Amino acid sequence: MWNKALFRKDYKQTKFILWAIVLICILALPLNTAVKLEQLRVELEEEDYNKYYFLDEESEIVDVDQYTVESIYRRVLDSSIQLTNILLFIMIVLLASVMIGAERGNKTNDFTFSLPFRRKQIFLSKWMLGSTVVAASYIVNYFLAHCIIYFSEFGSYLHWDLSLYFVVYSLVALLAMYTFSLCIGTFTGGVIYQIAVSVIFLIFPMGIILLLASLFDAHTASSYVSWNEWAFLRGLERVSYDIFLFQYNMNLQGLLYDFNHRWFDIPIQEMKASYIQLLIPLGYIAAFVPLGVLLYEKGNIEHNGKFILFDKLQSVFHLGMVVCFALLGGMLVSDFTPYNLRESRIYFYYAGFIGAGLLFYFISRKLLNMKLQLFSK
Amino acid sequence: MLEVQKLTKTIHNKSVFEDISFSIEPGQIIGLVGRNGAGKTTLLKSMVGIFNPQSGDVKFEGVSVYDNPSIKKHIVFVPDSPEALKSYTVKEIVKLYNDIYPQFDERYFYELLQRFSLSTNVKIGNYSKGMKALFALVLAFSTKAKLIILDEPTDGLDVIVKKKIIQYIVEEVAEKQTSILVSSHRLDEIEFIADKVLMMKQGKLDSQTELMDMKSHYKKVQVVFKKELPPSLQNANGIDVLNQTGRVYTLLLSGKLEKANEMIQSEQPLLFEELPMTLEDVFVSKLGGDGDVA
Repeated sequence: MWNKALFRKDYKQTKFILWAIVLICILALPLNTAVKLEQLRVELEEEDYNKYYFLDEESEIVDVDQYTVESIYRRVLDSSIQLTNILLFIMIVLLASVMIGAERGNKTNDFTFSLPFRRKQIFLSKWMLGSTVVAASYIVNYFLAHCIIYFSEFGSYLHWDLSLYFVVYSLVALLAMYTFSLCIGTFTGGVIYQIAVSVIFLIFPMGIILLLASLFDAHTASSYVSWNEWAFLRGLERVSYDIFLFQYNMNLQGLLYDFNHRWFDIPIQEMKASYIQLLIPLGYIAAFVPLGVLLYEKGNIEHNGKFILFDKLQSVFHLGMVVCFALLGGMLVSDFTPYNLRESRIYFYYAGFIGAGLLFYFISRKLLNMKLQLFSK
Repeated sequence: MLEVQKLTKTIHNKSVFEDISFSIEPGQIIGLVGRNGAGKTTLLKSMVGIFNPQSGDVKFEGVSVYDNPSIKKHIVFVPDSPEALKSYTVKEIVKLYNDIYPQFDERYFYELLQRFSLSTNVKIGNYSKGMKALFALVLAFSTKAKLIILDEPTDGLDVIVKKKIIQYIVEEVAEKQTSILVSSHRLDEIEFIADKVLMMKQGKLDSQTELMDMKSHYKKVQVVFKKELPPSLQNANGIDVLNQTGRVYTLLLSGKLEKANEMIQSEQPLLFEELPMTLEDVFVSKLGGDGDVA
């Protein structure tokens, strides 16, 4: 799996992004932590407490120890982790897209596949290189951020079990996103398509809920959807959120709120963290590594430049896109229904649905058969 | 050494080539010719695993290149332009090739760069087109691979560089018994270097001809008759019209040459003259015709 030649080739191809990841980790973890810690120090010296972190707001008595530990986790570390994870998320999609998608546009794919290596080995080498750099730079810099706190006067406020949980969750979630995006690259025909499909699939689950809610609304023929119906949709949204948008939770607030259903009204050290939350991102890695290998082996690179490399999969994508655009058209047009014609909302909805569906069908048929060649002479 | 067995490739349910079988022996230079769209590049790319063929196999010394890609360390594919390596410096490529090809001869590589006056301190992308082509060849031969597959190695190059490349290929094969499979539109070059020519027509291998045998299989003649070409010769097997100027016909005779000779003589031509034959004549005769260009 770890081949020096493939490592050298992939590193050459992605070194700017890999070093950007390292730099982001340095800036957003230890450096950001040091700056935030200094701000906290000034606050404590000047007794200029942030009211959000009073445990007893009514009496305005400040438990300075509790205020400090809350601040360290809820502000210092949380802001560092959030900043790192958002920036890394963007870099990870870019990294995966340059690893696989960019190769499809500049004949590097031909060179790579002519070398004496199995496609499985080539894919796993890309996965290993990206994962190792992300994991190593994250762990080292997260550790450095903690060292900065540990060796300061705030060292005794650290709760290592919480700290460990956050780094483990963030890492697994980031690696899951990388694996997912790399897998998308095995069936899309170029870097732009890989980025687009990765991003679409990340927002799709939330978007589809919105579209389905509108479909639901049109059929109830009233301006309000009943509580039970909303509860059903909210349930769907929740599942969708957990399964597809776990990376949204990569901050302390999200993670702890998720498990404790509360955020501000219990002391941070009493909050419970659950490693069960790791199951979804771990499931992503377990599913998308083998799927990526399979599709990378079967992929016909003569279709490079097309939206989807597999003819059969292209039909599925085409249908899915047409349905989504039809739903979007229905949603937009039904919003124009005059209030006194509320009962006829469904007709407006289907006019938009059919119109947008047909329009997108004809546009997308041309688009999907186009070969997009970027970065090639 | 290398055996291509019933290789078939379809793209979008259309056959690009089917049932292609041939073999390459050590030290042999094989030319692959065919009109544009005949499937030459797809065949070469399928042979090294860049494309997945639908069926068939390619075996190098008895080992399938698809089941055991590591055997490809003995095979180097040189595309028409080394675009994939253009961001590399020469030193980076040396490191990369040292890791990929265990037999890579670094000393020999630098000697060759010096011989062809190729700078060693630049990125490959900064070389001219001719230098890139020469560099790709030097790199391929320095791997000490047993088989080198060249796709249009002289396409778009000036006469001087072409000459250098052809000469270099011939030298390398003579010295090291490397086998070469080369696709090219330049039939004069193929004729100069190849031992055997594979002709592809509409996705099939139309013929495999040893160039040494070509003269015994084909004959080019110029004939003049009192009127136009007699009907008995127009549709005769083994007689193809290469060219006609007035009553002067240039014919390519193939197959049973003596029989064709006799048929022409029986029509009492005013002129019958044998002309020096080139590979191009055979190419035009066998692969010519309208509607073949994809």
